[in-house]
Amino acid sequence: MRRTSGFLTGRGAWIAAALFLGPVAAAASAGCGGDDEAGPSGPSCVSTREYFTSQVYGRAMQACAGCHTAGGLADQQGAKFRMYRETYPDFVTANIDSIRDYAQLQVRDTPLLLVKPLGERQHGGGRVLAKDSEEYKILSKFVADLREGREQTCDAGDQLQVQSLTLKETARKASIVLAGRFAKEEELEAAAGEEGFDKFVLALTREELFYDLLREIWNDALLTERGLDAGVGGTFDNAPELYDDKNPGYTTENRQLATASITQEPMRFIEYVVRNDLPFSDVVTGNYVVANPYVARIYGLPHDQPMTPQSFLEWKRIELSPVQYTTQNGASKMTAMPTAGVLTTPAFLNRWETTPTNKSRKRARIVLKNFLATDIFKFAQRPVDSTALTSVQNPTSNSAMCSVCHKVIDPIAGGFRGFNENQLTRFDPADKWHDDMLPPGFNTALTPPESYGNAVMWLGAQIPRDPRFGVSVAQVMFRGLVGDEPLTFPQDKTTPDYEDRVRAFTLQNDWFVKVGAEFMAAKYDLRKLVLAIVRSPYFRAKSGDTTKDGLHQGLGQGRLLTPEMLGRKYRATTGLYFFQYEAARPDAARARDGFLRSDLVSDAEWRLVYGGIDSGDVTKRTDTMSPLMVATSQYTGALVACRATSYDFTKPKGDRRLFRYVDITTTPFTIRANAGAALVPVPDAEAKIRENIKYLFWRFLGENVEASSEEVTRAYSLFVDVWKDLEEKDLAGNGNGKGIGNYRCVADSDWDKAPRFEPDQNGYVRAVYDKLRPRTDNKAPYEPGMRLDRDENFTVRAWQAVVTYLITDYRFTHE
Amino acid sequence: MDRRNFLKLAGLSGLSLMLPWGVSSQASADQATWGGPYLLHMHAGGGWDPTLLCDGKTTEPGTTPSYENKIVTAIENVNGIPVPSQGAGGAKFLLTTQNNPVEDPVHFFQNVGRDVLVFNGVDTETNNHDVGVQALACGHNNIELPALAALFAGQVARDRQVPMAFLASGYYNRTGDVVGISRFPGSKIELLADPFKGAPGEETGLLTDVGSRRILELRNQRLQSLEAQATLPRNKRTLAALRDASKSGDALNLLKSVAQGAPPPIDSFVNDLAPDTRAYLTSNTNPANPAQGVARFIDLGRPIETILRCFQAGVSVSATWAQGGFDTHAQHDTNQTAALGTFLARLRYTLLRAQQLGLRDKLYVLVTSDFGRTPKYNTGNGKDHWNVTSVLLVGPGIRGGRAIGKTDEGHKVLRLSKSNVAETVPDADTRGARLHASHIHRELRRVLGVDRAPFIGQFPLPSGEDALPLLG
Repeated sequence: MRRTSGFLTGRGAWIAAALFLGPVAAAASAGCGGDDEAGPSGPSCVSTREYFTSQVYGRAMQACAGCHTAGGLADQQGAKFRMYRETYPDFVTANIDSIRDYAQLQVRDTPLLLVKPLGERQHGGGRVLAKDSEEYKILSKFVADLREGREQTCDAGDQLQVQSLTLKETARKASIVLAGRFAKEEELEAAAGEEGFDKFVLALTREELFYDLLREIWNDALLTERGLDAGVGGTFDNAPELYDDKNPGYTTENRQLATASITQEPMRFIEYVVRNDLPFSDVVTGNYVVANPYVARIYGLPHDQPMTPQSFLEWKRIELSPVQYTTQNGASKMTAMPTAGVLTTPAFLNRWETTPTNKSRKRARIVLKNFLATDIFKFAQRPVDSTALTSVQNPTSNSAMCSVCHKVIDPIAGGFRGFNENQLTRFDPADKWHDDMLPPGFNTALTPPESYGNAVMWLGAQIPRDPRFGVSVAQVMFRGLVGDEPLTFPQDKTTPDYEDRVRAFTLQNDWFVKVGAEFMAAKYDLRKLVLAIVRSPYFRAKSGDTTKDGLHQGLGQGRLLTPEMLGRKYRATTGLYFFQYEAARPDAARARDGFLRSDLVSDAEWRLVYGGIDSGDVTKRTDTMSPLMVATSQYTGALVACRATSYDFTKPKGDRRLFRYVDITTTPFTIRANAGAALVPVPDAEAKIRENIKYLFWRFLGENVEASSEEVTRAYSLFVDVWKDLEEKDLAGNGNGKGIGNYRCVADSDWDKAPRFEPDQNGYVRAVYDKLRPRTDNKAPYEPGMRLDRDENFTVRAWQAVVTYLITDYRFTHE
Repeated sequence: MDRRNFLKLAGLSGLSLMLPWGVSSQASADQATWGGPYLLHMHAGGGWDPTLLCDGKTTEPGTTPSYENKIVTAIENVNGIPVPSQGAGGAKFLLTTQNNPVEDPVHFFQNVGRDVLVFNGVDTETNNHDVGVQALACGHNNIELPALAALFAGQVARDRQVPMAFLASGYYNRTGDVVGISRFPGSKIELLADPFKGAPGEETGLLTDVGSRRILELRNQRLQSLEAQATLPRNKRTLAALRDASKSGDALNLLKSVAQGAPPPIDSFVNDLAPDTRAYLTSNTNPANPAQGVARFIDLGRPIETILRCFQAGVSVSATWAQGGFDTHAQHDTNQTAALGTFLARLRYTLLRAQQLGLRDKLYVLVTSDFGRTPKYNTGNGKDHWNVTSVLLVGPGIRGGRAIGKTDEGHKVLRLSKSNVAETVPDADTRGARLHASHIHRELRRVLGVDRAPFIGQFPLPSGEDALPLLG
């Protein structure tokens, strides 16, 4: 792209960078490092940004970065030329802009940027490049290209050189991942076209289970589900009946529900914003609360629903700023408390607690990481020597070693001024801030003094205006949907595929900038961001050149499903969640009418064994299988398979999820009268069984295989081996091998019908399902709707084995 | 050369003498259990204050002392280790929690911890929690290398079907995909030991025996087929992990013995507890209903007990474990002594219990923290981050009962003499080297044999740094 006027810096540059990456690349001249024959869509295309990353930053200017980055010697001495480390969000744009600007300064027609590295013009670092070195040539060419406006863009899709899932295959995966269901055939057909695909995916983001996923994704980032006791309500002192067991209105149930409410508040806020198509920026700017009746009571706010378990899920927007009622020194005091989306929720403030010496820096770190794509812990990694600072007064402000990070984090920490550092949710607008810190602010702007009483609202309002917000939200959603961390800039230059790794990083980094900017331009529409991720190669790539691992980092199917996702996939494909004892239980905090129970969500032990988190001690998910996880997937898969297989056969063929091409009587061989008789194949039976296996490969694994393929043959052999074994044992046992031996595998309840909740003999409220009708005459043919506890054709147990085999497969537990 | 072949060759040629763990690992490379050695990495999360433990300091004289300590008034030299011995008012210095004495550092280093090697004056080069945790766990501040515990487990797991080779409950558990991460499965273990049964003891499983067997056979074929087809890194990585993880199978039965084990009796520890702490550590956690409680020392040892039992059962090779509570920016003296007291008690438990379980001569214990605490108090009576800290190490072949490295009276580093690491030189003396986490890790890699693992080339420690012969 030839630039025709001016230079963009700051925010404009972010947007410009995003626009450069649009699908239509402008006609390019021979760009930096570009090949005249390399068009913008060819695999050999090298964009200006990539050339910068791999050659200029990664090679020619390595010596410069040591001093000219934040906190470096040159930076401390006030050098005008500034570089940004790779840990700075979109450091490529920032650096190119910086170089472009600085390259305008020249001495006798030579850019200063090419003079100083030679040790001339009083360069503080002396000579760092030799004029005849390759590095100097790279820098010279790059500077010349920038000055003359020669900038090359490339089509990222082609750059990666991978084959992707078809739209139909992607739609199948998206429906399982996003909405926890298996798409109908007509939906998949409609999604096979470009327009239909987008429509389908966007519709998935309106389904109920998407909001479960959304809360999981954001809790992985903010970790507020660690839990917060209802006793936090003591700060507000509006509802002692919810936590004070001496209060006449106190009940254990109310405390539990209030505890769940105040814990869930931040995630319910996020859900509310998306569910109601509000701009996602409300998550940090929303000057309202999202409260159910319990939270409203704690805050002392009105709610239009009564405080009952049945109303737990009535999360409503309440426009009024919460009013804090406190009693201090015996006097009542009403105090308005600022609201800034999730940032002011008690669960957030307590999860990221502060102290009089931490001064809300931890909160600032979390804000930076999750809403501004900045990991302050990696912001300026280099040796820190506190022992050299003992004579420095207030080193966090006055030592470059410390201030490099503190000047970023401290102003944001100041946004939380007013929130008490001992009683974390108590707010007093008159509280003083710390004189030894940089004043509250954001980037280079200071919080106006008139906003000190609600600094967090001012802070929240700044965040979504920063292009890093779009990148950050994109990265959080990417982690949740793709399952990987965003790539980091490769550190080890000695690896043989270093340049490929740099290229992979650059392409992904640019992609984040692009989708982040589009998300912001679309009024912070999270659904469109989800669509962009689902459409990307990071979600869809399925094969590529096996020698290009460096370039293809983070690509490929095979993301290990989280325990929550695995639970949903069981239900999406078989109709049943994994549960040990109860298929459903009344739980007002999850669903109005009780909820079908996935033990992989509800049982913390199962969740942790399968690599999940508890938001407190365990905060990072496991992303590859361990031996215990393999065993867990086998146990859970076998249990789901045995239940789901039997139950599916109780339905008429047209209503079945799994067995659409066979009947319970479809046996591979005629059942013999005695063990000495030869096995006689049943005409067409093998074809039907193979056809059904083929369908199960698609349904469970997303694989399109032929009925005669090796894969289907393996599964067919399993079916036949189990069938033969059962038949032989039945003959040997004089017909006593027809029962479905394990009671868990008997189809007895009609799982698809909503349960009733009734007390059992001990008074515990249990889910009660309609029973299937008894099969009174075992000699009569089995009819749909009957209880299924006998397997006289040996097919139910043979299919249970096949289903177990498939739903414990790699492609089932990984997507 | 892979590990299995190396072991065979070592056995034939006498090279085994070069292996620090001698004969134990040569028993059978085909077994599904591991006979040792084992590595436990214990981490004090948040940044401990080693001046209250093994690099004791007292307040310097003067109006603006370079080091302040309100709770230690005297230091005792225990085999060259400066250990706080006297508290305010001349009383014995004890680590307490809620005024209850939990540990006596002098008693520890004179008795149970007499084999511990102390590294003082370790320069973490960071005041950043994440970087400090990383540096002490993997030896590199800038590149997220696999944790040492993961590397060690990965090396062993290449040839042995150890079901939970790397038991991860610490803060830093990166594996570099050389081994899978395992977490102890609690009450689920009985179900997982035989996953195709609905529950232990049931006569009829969820699948027939033929079905179970054939599924496992076909699964292996399928995995090979998928690996042959895989072209993209994520597929390759997760398939390889699944293949490795699938090897363990039957060995999960061993976990049952771990899960079902009863806690050890407190009587077996009493004589090895510091006299001043006995009353508290032997008291019951539930005095109102003692049958529902246990002795406090046993209670403190619970998380360690599981790890040690996994080692004893041979189902784990290494483990990480961490305890928080050390980031004492406020009320340092109260909070740090409480955290340090329980942590040291757990280290005491580790060493004593390892002896009881027959693991003591096979167990390496590495003890670290993010960094140290500032020499002076802040305005909240807290102490902030300080890049100078200490590391403890104990294990077979490690000559303990001594300290390598020193700090000055202001808790600043002295350098180790490059020609003799037992000596220190001033920080400005270039004949010395500052002791970094990477130096310790380089030595531990050597001692554990990890430096010979075929994958180790992918994970180099920082270059351009002299190796220091810290462990002989």
